[in-house]
Amino acid sequence: MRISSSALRSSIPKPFSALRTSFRGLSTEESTTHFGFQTVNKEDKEKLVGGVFSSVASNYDIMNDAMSLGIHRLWKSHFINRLDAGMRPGSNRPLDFLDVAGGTGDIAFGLLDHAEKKFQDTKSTMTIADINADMLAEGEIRYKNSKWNDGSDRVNFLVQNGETMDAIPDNSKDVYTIAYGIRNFTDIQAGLNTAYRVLKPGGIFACLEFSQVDNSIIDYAYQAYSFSLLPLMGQLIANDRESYQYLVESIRNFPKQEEFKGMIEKAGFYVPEKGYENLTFGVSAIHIGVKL
Amino acid sequence: MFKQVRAYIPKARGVRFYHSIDHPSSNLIVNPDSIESTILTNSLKHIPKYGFNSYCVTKSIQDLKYPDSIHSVLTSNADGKSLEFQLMLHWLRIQRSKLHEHIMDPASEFHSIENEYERVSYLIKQRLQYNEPIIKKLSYGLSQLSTPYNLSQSLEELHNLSDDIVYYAGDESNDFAWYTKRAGVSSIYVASELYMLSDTSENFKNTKEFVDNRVRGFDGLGGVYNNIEQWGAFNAIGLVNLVKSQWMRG
Ligand SMILES: C[S@@+](CC[C@H](N)C(=O)[O-])C[C@H]1O[C@@H](n2cnc3c(N)ncnc32)[C@H](O)[C@@H]1O
Repeated sequence: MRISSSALRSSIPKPFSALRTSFRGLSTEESTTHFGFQTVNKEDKEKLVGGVFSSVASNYDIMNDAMSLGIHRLWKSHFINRLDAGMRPGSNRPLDFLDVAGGTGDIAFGLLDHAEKKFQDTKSTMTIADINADMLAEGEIRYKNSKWNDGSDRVNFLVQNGETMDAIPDNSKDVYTIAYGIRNFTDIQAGLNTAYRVLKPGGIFACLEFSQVDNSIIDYAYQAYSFSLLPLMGQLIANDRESYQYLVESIRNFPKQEEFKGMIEKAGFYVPEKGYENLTFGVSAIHIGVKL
Repeated sequence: MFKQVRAYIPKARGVRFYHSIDHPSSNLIVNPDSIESTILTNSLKHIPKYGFNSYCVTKSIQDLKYPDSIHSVLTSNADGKSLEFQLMLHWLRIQRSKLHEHIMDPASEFHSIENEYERVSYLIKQRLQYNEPIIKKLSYGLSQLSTPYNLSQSLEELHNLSDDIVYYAGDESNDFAWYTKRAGVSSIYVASELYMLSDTSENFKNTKEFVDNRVRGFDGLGGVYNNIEQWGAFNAIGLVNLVKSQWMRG
Protein backbone atom coordinates (compact mmCIF):
# COMPACT_ATOMS: atom_id res chain seq x y z
CA MET A 1 0.00 0.00 0.00
CA ARG A 2 1.20 3.42 -0.83
CA ILE A 3 -0.40 5.39 1.96
CA SER A 4 -0.18 4.56 5.62
CA SER A 5 -3.46 4.13 7.39
CA SER A 6 -2.73 6.66 10.09
CA ALA A 7 -2.06 9.34 7.49
CA LEU A 8 -5.35 8.56 5.83
CA ARG A 9 -7.32 8.50 8.99
CA SER A 10 -6.65 12.15 9.62
CA SER A 11 -7.03 13.32 6.00
CA ILE A 12 -10.26 11.66 4.98
CA PRO A 13 -13.59 13.22 5.85
CA LYS A 14 -16.40 11.08 7.09
CA PRO A 15 -19.56 11.99 5.27
CA PHE A 16 -21.52 9.11 6.66
CA SER A 17 -21.82 9.98 10.28
CA ALA A 18 -23.67 13.13 9.30
CA LEU A 19 -25.80 11.42 6.69
CA ARG A 20 -26.74 8.48 8.77
CA THR A 21 -28.80 10.69 11.07
CA SER A 22 -30.74 12.00 8.11
CA PHE A 23 -31.87 8.50 7.17
CA ARG A 24 -34.13 8.32 10.19
CA GLY A 25 -36.71 10.86 9.09
CA LEU A 26 -37.29 9.26 5.69
CA SER A 27 -40.85 8.38 4.88
CA THR A 28 -41.26 5.29 2.76
CA GLU A 29 -43.68 7.01 0.35
CA GLU A 30 -41.00 9.22 -1.11
CA SER A 31 -39.33 8.03 -4.30
CA THR A 32 -36.48 5.84 -3.27
CA THR A 33 -33.39 4.29 -4.80
CA HIS A 34 -30.63 2.02 -3.63
CA PHE A 35 -27.69 3.20 -1.65
CA GLY A 36 -25.87 -0.05 -1.34
CA PHE A 37 -28.48 -2.22 0.38
CA GLN A 38 -30.08 0.67 2.15
CA THR A 39 -33.03 2.12 0.31
CA VAL A 40 -32.79 5.87 0.39
CA ASN A 41 -34.40 8.96 -1.01
CA LYS A 42 -33.25 9.73 -4.58
CA GLU A 43 -31.93 13.21 -3.90
CA ASP A 44 -30.02 11.94 -0.93
CA LYS A 45 -28.26 9.31 -3.01
CA GLU A 46 -26.49 11.94 -5.06
CA LYS A 47 -25.17 13.49 -1.87
CA LEU A 48 -24.29 10.12 -0.44
CA VAL A 49 -22.42 9.08 -3.56
CA GLY A 50 -20.66 12.44 -3.62
CA GLY A 51 -19.63 11.77 -0.06
CA VAL A 52 -18.29 8.34 -0.83
CA PHE A 53 -16.15 9.57 -3.65
CA SER A 54 -14.96 12.63 -1.78
CA SER A 55 -13.92 10.38 1.02
CA VAL A 56 -11.99 8.11 -1.27
CA ALA A 57 -10.96 10.58 -3.97
CA SER A 58 -7.27 10.59 -3.29
CA ASN A 59 -6.89 6.90 -2.76
CA TYR A 60 -9.50 5.50 -5.07
CA ASP A 61 -6.85 3.52 -6.93
CA ILE A 62 -6.26 1.51 -3.79
CA MET A 63 -9.97 0.92 -3.55
CA ASN A 64 -10.21 -0.21 -7.13
CA ASP A 65 -7.26 -2.53 -6.63
CA ALA A 66 -9.02 -4.09 -3.71
CA MET A 67 -12.37 -4.42 -5.47
CA SER A 68 -10.99 -6.20 -8.47
CA LEU A 69 -8.19 -8.17 -6.88
CA GLY A 70 -5.85 -5.75 -8.59
CA ILE A 71 -6.84 -6.52 -12.15
CA HIS A 72 -8.96 -3.45 -12.83
CA ARG A 73 -5.90 -1.96 -14.52
CA LEU A 74 -5.84 -4.84 -16.97
CA TRP A 75 -9.55 -4.49 -17.59
CA LYS A 76 -9.22 -0.80 -18.26
CA SER A 77 -6.50 -1.32 -20.80
CA HIS A 78 -8.48 -4.19 -22.32
CA PHE A 79 -11.48 -1.86 -22.56
CA ILE A 80 -9.39 0.76 -24.35
CA ASN A 81 -7.89 -1.77 -26.75
CA ARG A 82 -11.22 -3.30 -27.63
CA LEU A 83 -12.73 0.09 -28.37
CA ASP A 84 -9.75 0.79 -30.60
CA ALA A 85 -10.98 4.36 -31.00
CA GLY A 86 -9.27 7.21 -32.79
CA MET A 87 -9.25 9.18 -35.99
CA ARG A 88 -7.95 6.83 -38.69
CA PRO A 89 -5.14 7.92 -40.98
CA GLY A 90 -6.65 9.43 -44.10
CA SER A 91 -9.66 10.75 -42.23
CA ASN A 92 -10.09 14.45 -41.62
CA ARG A 93 -12.71 14.29 -38.91
CA PRO A 94 -11.25 14.22 -35.40
CA LEU A 95 -13.40 12.47 -32.81
CA ASP A 96 -14.94 14.12 -29.78
CA PHE A 97 -14.56 11.85 -26.78
CA LEU A 98 -16.55 12.16 -23.58
CA ASP A 99 -15.43 10.18 -20.55
CA VAL A 100 -18.17 10.27 -17.93
CA ALA A 101 -17.51 9.58 -14.25
CA GLY A 102 -13.98 10.09 -15.47
CA GLY A 103 -12.59 10.71 -12.00
CA THR A 104 -8.87 10.94 -12.20
CA GLY A 105 -8.73 10.52 -15.96
CA ASP A 106 -7.35 6.98 -16.24
CA ILE A 107 -9.61 6.02 -19.10
CA ALA A 108 -9.47 9.41 -20.80
CA PHE A 109 -5.68 9.53 -20.94
CA GLY A 110 -5.55 5.88 -21.92
CA LEU A 111 -7.90 6.53 -24.86
CA LEU A 112 -5.88 9.51 -26.06
CA ASP A 113 -2.68 7.51 -25.78
CA HIS A 114 -4.13 4.65 -27.78
CA ALA A 115 -5.41 6.99 -30.52
CA GLU A 116 -2.02 8.66 -30.81
CA LYS A 117 0.12 5.51 -30.71
CA LYS A 118 -2.02 3.45 -33.02
CA PHE A 119 -3.44 6.00 -35.45
CA GLN A 120 -1.15 9.02 -35.00
CA ASP A 121 -4.29 10.85 -33.96
CA THR A 122 -3.30 14.07 -32.21
CA LYS A 123 -6.46 15.99 -33.01
CA SER A 124 -9.37 14.28 -31.29
CA THR A 125 -10.72 16.05 -28.23
CA MET A 126 -11.52 14.74 -24.76
CA THR A 127 -14.03 15.96 -22.20
CA ILE A 128 -13.78 14.43 -18.76
CA ALA A 129 -16.99 14.79 -16.77
CA ASP A 130 -17.61 13.81 -13.17
CA ILE A 131 -20.17 14.78 -10.58
CA ASN A 132 -17.49 15.14 -7.98
CA ALA A 133 -15.20 18.17 -8.10
CA ASP A 134 -12.64 16.51 -5.82
CA MET A 135 -12.25 13.58 -8.17
CA LEU A 136 -11.90 15.92 -11.14
CA ALA A 137 -9.35 17.98 -9.27
CA GLU A 138 -7.20 14.85 -8.95
CA GLY A 139 -7.55 14.39 -12.69
CA GLU A 140 -6.60 17.99 -13.40
CA ILE A 141 -3.46 17.69 -11.32
CA ARG A 142 -2.45 14.64 -13.32
CA TYR A 143 -3.32 16.45 -16.54
CA LYS A 144 -1.22 19.51 -15.70
CA ASN A 145 1.86 17.31 -15.37
CA SER A 146 1.11 15.24 -18.45
CA LYS A 147 2.09 15.60 -22.10
CA TRP A 148 -1.54 16.36 -22.93
CA ASN A 149 -1.09 19.77 -21.33
CA ASP A 150 0.52 21.10 -24.52
CA GLY A 151 -1.49 24.27 -25.01
CA SER A 152 -3.74 22.64 -27.61
CA ASP A 153 -6.71 22.72 -25.25
CA ARG A 154 -7.85 19.31 -26.43
CA VAL A 155 -8.67 18.14 -22.92
CA ASN A 156 -11.42 19.65 -20.80
CA PHE A 157 -12.79 18.97 -17.34
CA LEU A 158 -16.43 19.50 -16.46
CA VAL A 159 -18.34 18.99 -13.25
CA GLN A 160 -21.51 17.30 -14.49
CA ASN A 161 -24.12 14.90 -13.32
CA GLY A 162 -24.07 12.06 -15.85
CA GLU A 163 -27.82 11.69 -15.58
CA THR A 164 -28.48 15.11 -17.11
CA MET A 165 -25.23 16.62 -18.45
CA ASP A 166 -26.87 19.97 -19.05
CA ALA A 167 -23.61 21.54 -20.27
CA ILE A 168 -23.21 19.00 -23.08
CA PRO A 169 -25.25 19.73 -26.23
CA ASP A 170 -27.27 17.11 -28.11
CA ASN A 171 -25.49 15.19 -30.89
CA SER A 172 -22.08 16.56 -30.00
CA LYS A 173 -19.89 13.53 -29.12
CA ASP A 174 -18.51 10.55 -31.01
CA VAL A 175 -17.39 8.26 -28.23
CA TYR A 176 -18.99 8.09 -24.78
CA THR A 177 -17.09 6.02 -22.24
CA ILE A 178 -17.92 5.29 -18.65
CA ALA A 179 -15.82 3.00 -16.47
CA TYR A 180 -16.90 1.89 -13.03
CA GLY A 181 -19.19 4.91 -12.82
CA ILE A 182 -22.72 4.12 -13.95
CA ARG A 183 -23.61 1.86 -11.04
CA ASN A 184 -23.38 4.95 -8.85
CA PHE A 185 -26.06 6.79 -10.79
CA THR A 186 -29.31 7.29 -8.95
CA ASP A 187 -31.24 6.75 -12.16
CA ILE A 188 -29.21 4.56 -14.49
CA GLN A 189 -31.80 4.72 -17.26
CA ALA A 190 -31.63 8.52 -17.22
CA GLY A 191 -27.85 8.24 -17.57
CA LEU A 192 -28.23 5.99 -20.61
CA ASN A 193 -30.83 8.26 -22.17
CA THR A 194 -28.48 11.18 -21.69
CA ALA A 195 -25.63 9.23 -23.30
CA TYR A 196 -27.90 8.71 -26.30
CA ARG A 197 -28.81 12.37 -26.38
CA VAL A 198 -25.24 13.71 -26.42
CA LEU A 199 -23.88 11.25 -29.00
CA LYS A 200 -23.83 12.03 -32.69
CA PRO A 201 -25.32 9.49 -35.09
CA GLY A 202 -22.66 6.83 -35.56
CA GLY A 203 -21.45 7.50 -32.04
CA ILE A 204 -20.48 4.74 -29.65
CA PHE A 205 -21.53 4.15 -26.07
CA ALA A 206 -19.09 1.97 -24.14
CA CYS A 207 -19.35 1.00 -20.52
CA LEU A 208 -16.99 -0.96 -18.30
CA GLU A 209 -18.58 -1.99 -15.03
CA PHE A 210 -18.37 -4.52 -12.26
CA SER A 211 -20.85 -7.17 -13.06
CA GLN A 212 -22.47 -10.43 -12.11
CA VAL A 213 -20.15 -13.39 -12.02
CA ASP A 214 -21.49 -16.17 -14.21
CA ASN A 215 -20.13 -19.16 -12.38
CA SER A 216 -21.64 -20.01 -9.06
CA ILE A 217 -18.48 -21.20 -7.32
CA ILE A 218 -16.47 -18.22 -8.38
CA ASP A 219 -19.41 -16.03 -7.55
CA TYR A 220 -19.53 -17.45 -4.06
CA ALA A 221 -15.83 -16.90 -3.55
CA TYR A 222 -15.98 -13.40 -4.93
CA GLN A 223 -18.94 -12.45 -2.81
CA ALA A 224 -17.39 -13.88 0.29
CA TYR A 225 -14.28 -11.97 -0.53
CA SER A 226 -15.99 -8.73 -1.32
CA PHE A 227 -18.38 -8.72 1.61
CA SER A 228 -16.02 -9.70 4.35
CA LEU A 229 -12.54 -8.80 3.30
CA LEU A 230 -13.08 -5.64 1.32
CA PRO A 231 -14.82 -3.59 3.97
CA LEU A 232 -12.12 -4.60 6.38
CA MET A 233 -9.45 -3.58 3.95
CA GLY A 234 -11.30 -0.36 3.44
CA GLN A 235 -11.26 0.22 7.14
CA LEU A 236 -7.56 -0.41 7.28
CA ILE A 237 -6.94 1.74 4.26
CA ALA A 238 -9.16 4.64 5.01
CA ASN A 239 -10.83 4.05 8.33
CA ASP A 240 -14.02 4.51 6.40
CA ARG A 241 -15.85 1.25 6.54
CA GLU A 242 -19.19 2.59 5.30
CA SER A 243 -17.81 3.97 2.06
CA TYR A 244 -16.33 0.65 1.12
CA GLN A 245 -19.40 -1.21 2.23
CA TYR A 246 -21.36 1.01 -0.12
CA LEU A 247 -19.07 0.20 -3.02
CA VAL A 248 -19.42 -3.51 -2.50
CA GLU A 249 -23.17 -3.33 -2.16
CA SER A 250 -23.60 -1.08 -5.17
CA ILE A 251 -21.99 -3.80 -7.26
CA ARG A 252 -24.48 -6.38 -6.00
CA ASN A 253 -27.39 -4.08 -6.80
CA PHE A 254 -26.28 -3.26 -10.32
CA PRO A 255 -28.47 -4.92 -12.99
CA LYS A 256 -27.29 -8.19 -14.50
CA GLN A 257 -25.68 -8.16 -17.96
CA GLU A 258 -28.83 -9.09 -19.90
CA GLU A 259 -30.96 -6.60 -18.01
CA PHE A 260 -28.43 -3.82 -18.47
CA LYS A 261 -28.22 -4.61 -22.19
CA GLY A 262 -32.01 -4.19 -22.33
CA MET A 263 -31.70 -0.79 -20.67
CA ILE A 264 -29.12 0.31 -23.26
CA GLU A 265 -31.52 -0.71 -26.01
CA LYS A 266 -34.35 1.07 -24.27
CA ALA A 267 -32.33 4.28 -24.38
CA GLY A 268 -32.41 3.94 -28.18
CA PHE A 269 -29.06 2.30 -28.87
CA TYR A 270 -28.47 -0.49 -31.31
CA VAL A 271 -26.63 -3.24 -29.47
CA PRO A 272 -24.45 -5.43 -31.70
CA GLU A 273 -24.50 -9.25 -31.56
CA LYS A 274 -24.26 -10.52 -28.03
CA GLY A 275 -23.84 -6.98 -26.79
CA TYR A 276 -21.47 -7.45 -23.92
CA GLU A 277 -18.21 -9.13 -23.09
CA ASN A 278 -17.59 -10.68 -19.70
CA LEU A 279 -14.13 -10.21 -18.26
CA THR A 280 -12.72 -12.74 -15.80
CA PHE A 281 -15.94 -14.76 -15.42
CA GLY A 282 -18.04 -11.63 -15.34
CA VAL A 283 -16.45 -9.80 -12.42
CA SER A 284 -16.47 -6.96 -14.94
CA ALA A 285 -18.25 -6.60 -18.26
CA ILE A 286 -17.97 -4.35 -21.30
CA HIS A 287 -21.22 -3.15 -22.85
CA ILE A 288 -21.45 -1.47 -26.24
CA GLY A 289 -24.19 0.48 -27.96
CA VAL A 290 -24.37 2.46 -31.19
CA LYS A 291 -26.51 5.47 -31.95
CA LEU A 292 -27.68 4.87 -35.49
CA MET B 1 -34.11 -31.64 -58.38
CA PHE B 2 -32.69 -31.73 -54.94
CA LYS B 3 -34.64 -32.92 -51.98
CA GLN B 4 -36.58 -30.36 -50.02
CA VAL B 5 -37.12 -32.21 -46.80
CA ARG B 6 -34.90 -34.37 -44.69
CA ALA B 7 -36.79 -36.92 -42.76
CA TYR B 8 -34.25 -37.63 -40.11
CA ILE B 9 -31.00 -36.07 -39.09
CA PRO B 10 -28.81 -38.01 -36.67
CA LYS B 11 -27.83 -36.03 -33.62
CA ALA B 12 -25.60 -38.56 -31.99
CA ARG B 13 -21.92 -38.80 -31.13
CA GLY B 14 -21.44 -35.34 -29.75
CA VAL B 15 -21.00 -33.65 -33.10
CA ARG B 16 -22.92 -30.43 -33.57
CA PHE B 17 -24.86 -29.90 -36.74
CA TYR B 18 -25.05 -26.33 -37.56
CA HIS B 19 -27.99 -25.99 -39.83
CA SER B 20 -28.84 -29.19 -41.59
CA ILE B 21 -32.21 -29.51 -39.97
CA ASP B 22 -33.66 -26.47 -41.67
CA HIS B 23 -31.28 -26.79 -44.51
CA PRO B 24 -32.97 -25.29 -47.55
CA SER B 25 -32.97 -21.91 -45.82
CA SER B 26 -29.75 -22.25 -43.90
CA ASN B 27 -28.91 -18.94 -42.34
CA LEU B 28 -25.91 -17.63 -44.13
CA ILE B 29 -25.40 -14.26 -42.54
CA VAL B 30 -26.90 -13.75 -39.13
CA ASN B 31 -28.46 -10.42 -39.94
CA PRO B 32 -27.58 -8.93 -43.32
CA ASP B 33 -29.14 -5.57 -42.45
CA SER B 34 -27.16 -5.02 -39.28
CA ILE B 35 -24.62 -2.27 -39.21
CA GLU B 36 -21.80 -4.80 -38.79
CA SER B 37 -22.88 -6.69 -41.90
CA THR B 38 -23.35 -3.52 -43.91
CA ILE B 39 -19.82 -2.35 -43.11
CA LEU B 40 -18.24 -5.75 -43.70
CA THR B 41 -20.09 -6.44 -46.93
CA ASN B 42 -18.99 -3.10 -48.29
CA SER B 43 -15.42 -3.83 -47.15
CA LEU B 44 -15.22 -6.84 -49.45
CA LYS B 45 -14.83 -4.72 -52.54
CA HIS B 46 -11.49 -3.47 -51.22
CA ILE B 47 -10.04 -6.95 -50.72
CA PRO B 48 -8.69 -7.39 -54.27
CA LYS B 49 -6.58 -4.29 -53.68
CA TYR B 50 -5.68 -4.39 -49.99
CA GLY B 51 -6.11 -8.03 -49.08
CA PHE B 52 -7.70 -9.27 -45.87
CA ASN B 53 -6.50 -6.23 -44.01
CA SER B 54 -8.33 -4.08 -41.47
CA TYR B 55 -7.72 -1.18 -43.82
CA CYS B 56 -10.59 -2.50 -45.98
CA VAL B 57 -12.90 -1.91 -43.05
CA THR B 58 -11.60 1.61 -42.50
CA LYS B 59 -12.07 2.31 -46.21
CA SER B 60 -15.57 0.92 -46.09
CA ILE B 61 -16.49 3.10 -43.12
CA GLN B 62 -15.23 6.10 -45.00
CA ASP B 63 -17.16 5.08 -48.15
CA LEU B 64 -20.31 4.83 -46.10
CA LYS B 65 -19.61 8.24 -44.55
CA TYR B 66 -19.73 6.91 -41.02
CA PRO B 67 -17.55 8.56 -38.38
CA ASP B 68 -14.45 6.62 -37.33
CA SER B 69 -16.11 5.92 -33.99
CA ILE B 70 -18.17 3.20 -35.66
CA HIS B 71 -15.08 0.99 -35.86
CA SER B 72 -15.71 0.07 -32.24
CA VAL B 73 -18.86 -1.87 -33.19
CA LEU B 74 -16.60 -4.40 -34.84
CA THR B 75 -13.48 -4.15 -32.70
CA SER B 76 -15.40 -4.71 -29.47
CA ASN B 77 -17.32 -7.78 -30.61
CA ALA B 78 -17.94 -10.06 -27.68
CA ASP B 79 -15.82 -12.95 -28.99
CA GLY B 80 -12.71 -10.89 -29.44
CA LYS B 81 -12.39 -11.62 -33.15
CA SER B 82 -9.84 -9.42 -34.91
CA LEU B 83 -11.01 -7.19 -37.75
CA GLU B 84 -9.02 -9.31 -40.21
CA PHE B 85 -10.65 -12.51 -39.06
CA GLN B 86 -14.12 -10.94 -39.14
CA LEU B 87 -13.43 -9.80 -42.67
CA MET B 88 -12.30 -13.28 -43.70
CA LEU B 89 -15.31 -14.98 -42.11
CA HIS B 90 -17.66 -12.53 -43.69
CA TRP B 91 -16.10 -13.04 -47.06
CA LEU B 92 -16.50 -16.81 -46.69
CA ARG B 93 -20.15 -16.45 -45.74
CA ILE B 94 -20.86 -14.18 -48.66
CA GLN B 95 -19.26 -16.66 -51.06
CA ARG B 96 -21.30 -19.44 -49.52
CA SER B 97 -24.47 -17.45 -50.03
CA LYS B 98 -23.41 -16.78 -53.62
CA LEU B 99 -23.12 -20.52 -54.14
CA HIS B 100 -26.53 -20.91 -52.59
CA GLU B 101 -28.02 -18.37 -54.99
CA HIS B 102 -26.35 -20.11 -57.87
CA ILE B 103 -27.98 -23.39 -56.86
CA MET B 104 -31.35 -21.74 -56.38
CA ASP B 105 -31.22 -20.23 -59.85
CA PRO B 106 -33.37 -22.55 -62.01
CA ALA B 107 -31.30 -21.57 -65.05
CA SER B 108 -28.01 -22.73 -63.63
CA GLU B 109 -26.17 -25.55 -65.32
CA PHE B 110 -26.10 -27.40 -62.04
CA HIS B 111 -29.61 -28.73 -62.51
CA SER B 112 -28.70 -30.64 -65.65
CA ILE B 113 -26.19 -32.78 -63.74
CA GLU B 114 -27.63 -35.97 -62.33
CA ASN B 115 -24.79 -37.88 -60.80
CA GLU B 116 -24.12 -37.13 -57.14
CA TYR B 117 -20.33 -37.18 -57.60
CA GLU B 118 -20.48 -34.84 -60.53
CA ARG B 119 -22.69 -32.49 -58.63
CA VAL B 120 -20.19 -32.38 -55.78
CA SER B 121 -17.39 -31.74 -58.24
CA TYR B 122 -19.37 -29.01 -59.92
CA LEU B 123 -20.21 -27.24 -56.68
CA ILE B 124 -16.63 -27.31 -55.40
CA LYS B 125 -15.40 -25.88 -58.68
CA GLN B 126 -18.13 -23.26 -58.68
CA ARG B 127 -17.19 -22.19 -55.18
CA LEU B 128 -13.47 -22.12 -55.98
CA GLN B 129 -14.22 -19.87 -58.92
CA TYR B 130 -15.31 -17.17 -56.47
CA ASN B 131 -11.73 -17.11 -55.20
CA GLU B 132 -10.39 -15.86 -58.49
CA PRO B 133 -10.65 -12.08 -57.96
CA ILE B 134 -8.80 -12.31 -54.65
CA ILE B 135 -6.60 -15.31 -55.28
CA LYS B 136 -3.41 -13.33 -54.71
CA LYS B 137 -4.64 -12.27 -51.28
CA LEU B 138 -6.12 -15.58 -50.27
CA SER B 139 -3.17 -17.21 -48.59
CA TYR B 140 -2.99 -14.47 -45.99
CA GLY B 141 -6.73 -14.84 -45.39
CA LEU B 142 -6.36 -18.59 -44.96
CA SER B 143 -3.56 -18.10 -42.48
CA GLN B 144 -6.03 -16.06 -40.40
CA LEU B 145 -8.40 -18.99 -40.41
CA SER B 146 -5.86 -21.46 -39.22
CA THR B 147 -4.44 -19.62 -36.23
CA PRO B 148 -5.35 -21.70 -33.20
CA TYR B 149 -7.50 -19.01 -31.66
CA ASN B 150 -9.71 -18.80 -34.75
CA LEU B 151 -9.71 -22.43 -35.69
CA SER B 152 -13.00 -23.60 -34.28
CA GLN B 153 -14.99 -20.91 -36.06
CA SER B 154 -13.07 -21.52 -39.26
CA LEU B 155 -13.86 -25.21 -39.14
CA GLU B 156 -17.48 -24.41 -38.46
CA GLU B 157 -17.60 -22.32 -41.61
CA LEU B 158 -15.86 -25.06 -43.61
CA HIS B 159 -18.30 -27.59 -42.25
CA ASN B 160 -21.20 -25.40 -43.31
CA LEU B 161 -19.85 -25.22 -46.81
CA SER B 162 -19.39 -28.98 -47.07
CA ASP B 163 -22.80 -29.52 -45.61
CA ASP B 164 -24.32 -27.30 -48.28
CA ILE B 165 -22.41 -29.03 -51.04
CA VAL B 166 -23.23 -32.55 -49.94
CA TYR B 167 -26.83 -31.71 -49.27
CA TYR B 168 -27.47 -30.06 -52.62
CA ALA B 169 -25.61 -32.80 -54.41
CA GLY B 170 -28.47 -35.00 -53.28
CA ASP B 171 -27.25 -36.78 -50.20
CA GLU B 172 -29.91 -38.67 -48.34
CA SER B 173 -27.81 -40.49 -45.84
CA ASN B 174 -28.85 -40.41 -42.24
CA ASP B 175 -26.26 -42.67 -40.73
CA PHE B 176 -22.56 -42.52 -40.32
CA ALA B 177 -22.07 -41.91 -44.03
CA TRP B 178 -23.38 -38.49 -43.25
CA TYR B 179 -20.15 -37.66 -41.39
CA THR B 180 -17.94 -39.38 -43.86
CA LYS B 181 -19.25 -37.47 -46.79
CA ARG B 182 -18.97 -34.11 -45.17
CA ALA B 183 -15.52 -34.81 -43.84
CA GLY B 184 -14.49 -36.06 -47.26
CA VAL B 185 -15.81 -32.99 -49.04
CA SER B 186 -14.12 -30.73 -46.48
CA SER B 187 -10.78 -32.36 -47.04
CA ILE B 188 -11.16 -32.28 -50.83
CA TYR B 189 -12.20 -28.68 -50.66
CA VAL B 190 -9.23 -27.62 -48.53
CA ALA B 191 -6.75 -29.56 -50.63
CA SER B 192 -8.17 -28.07 -53.84
CA GLU B 193 -8.13 -24.56 -52.48
CA LEU B 194 -4.51 -24.93 -51.45
CA TYR B 195 -3.72 -26.35 -54.87
CA MET B 196 -5.40 -23.35 -56.43
CA LEU B 197 -3.14 -20.94 -54.58
CA SER B 198 -0.18 -21.98 -56.63
CA ASP B 199 -1.98 -22.90 -59.83
CA THR B 200 -0.77 -20.82 -62.76
CA SER B 201 -2.61 -22.70 -65.51
CA GLU B 202 -5.06 -20.83 -67.68
CA ASN B 203 -8.46 -20.35 -66.02
CA PHE B 204 -7.24 -22.60 -63.23
CA LYS B 205 -7.67 -25.56 -65.53
CA ASN B 206 -5.37 -27.70 -63.38
CA THR B 207 -7.31 -26.93 -60.24
CA LYS B 208 -10.52 -28.07 -61.90
CA GLU B 209 -8.88 -31.33 -62.92
CA PHE B 210 -7.53 -31.72 -59.45
CA VAL B 211 -11.06 -31.42 -58.03
CA ASP B 212 -12.48 -33.92 -60.51
CA ASN B 213 -9.79 -36.45 -59.72
CA ARG B 214 -10.16 -36.09 -56.01
CA VAL B 215 -13.92 -36.44 -56.08
CA ARG B 216 -13.71 -39.43 -58.38
CA GLY B 217 -11.22 -41.04 -56.02
CA PHE B 218 -13.49 -40.58 -53.08
CA ASP B 219 -15.63 -43.64 -52.62
CA GLY B 220 -17.40 -42.51 -49.51
CA LEU B 221 -20.08 -40.62 -51.33
CA GLY B 222 -22.10 -43.63 -52.40
CA GLY B 223 -23.78 -45.99 -50.03
CA VAL B 224 -23.32 -46.48 -46.36
CA TYR B 225 -19.74 -46.10 -45.37
CA ASN B 226 -18.91 -46.69 -41.79
CA ASN B 227 -15.25 -45.92 -41.85
CA ILE B 228 -14.16 -43.92 -38.87
CA GLU B 229 -10.65 -43.66 -40.23
CA GLN B 230 -11.96 -41.70 -43.12
CA TRP B 231 -13.29 -39.15 -40.71
CA GLY B 232 -10.04 -39.13 -38.80
CA ALA B 233 -8.06 -38.59 -41.96
CA PHE B 234 -9.35 -35.09 -42.04
CA ASN B 235 -8.48 -33.32 -38.87
CA ALA B 236 -7.83 -29.84 -37.71
CA ILE B 237 -4.12 -30.23 -37.20
CA GLY B 238 -3.71 -31.42 -40.73
CA LEU B 239 -5.53 -28.39 -42.01
CA VAL B 240 -3.42 -26.00 -40.00
CA ASN B 241 -0.21 -27.54 -41.21
CA LEU B 242 -1.33 -27.58 -44.79
CA VAL B 243 -2.30 -23.96 -44.75
CA LYS B 244 0.83 -22.94 -42.90
CA SER B 245 3.12 -24.69 -45.32
CA GLN B 246 1.30 -23.03 -48.21
CA TRP B 247 1.48 -19.68 -46.60
CA MET B 248 5.21 -19.97 -45.99
CA ARG B 249 5.70 -20.72 -49.64
CA GLY B 250 3.43 -17.92 -50.83
C1 LIG C 1 -15.01 4.29 -9.13
S1 LIG C 1 -14.87 5.89 -9.80
C2 LIG C 1 -14.34 5.53 -11.45
C3 LIG C 1 -13.39 6.53 -12.00
C4 LIG C 1 -12.76 6.23 -13.37
N1 LIG C 1 -13.75 6.19 -14.43
C5 LIG C 1 -11.96 4.97 -13.34
O1 LIG C 1 -12.37 3.98 -13.94
O2 LIG C 1 -10.90 4.98 -12.75
C6 LIG C 1 -16.58 6.36 -9.96
C7 LIG C 1 -16.79 7.83 -10.35
O3 LIG C 1 -18.17 8.04 -10.66
C8 LIG C 1 -18.48 9.38 -10.31
N2 LIG C 1 -19.93 9.53 -10.26
C9 LIG C 1 -20.80 8.98 -9.41
N3 LIG C 1 -22.07 9.35 -9.71
C10 LIG C 1 -21.99 10.16 -10.79
C11 LIG C 1 -22.94 10.86 -11.57
N4 LIG C 1 -24.26 10.82 -11.30
N5 LIG C 1 -22.50 11.60 -12.63
C12 LIG C 1 -21.18 11.66 -12.93
N6 LIG C 1 -20.23 11.02 -12.22
C13 LIG C 1 -20.62 10.27 -11.15
C14 LIG C 1 -17.78 9.52 -8.99
O4 LIG C 1 -17.61 10.86 -8.62
C15 LIG C 1 -16.45 8.82 -9.25
O5 LIG C 1 -15.49 9.71 -9.73
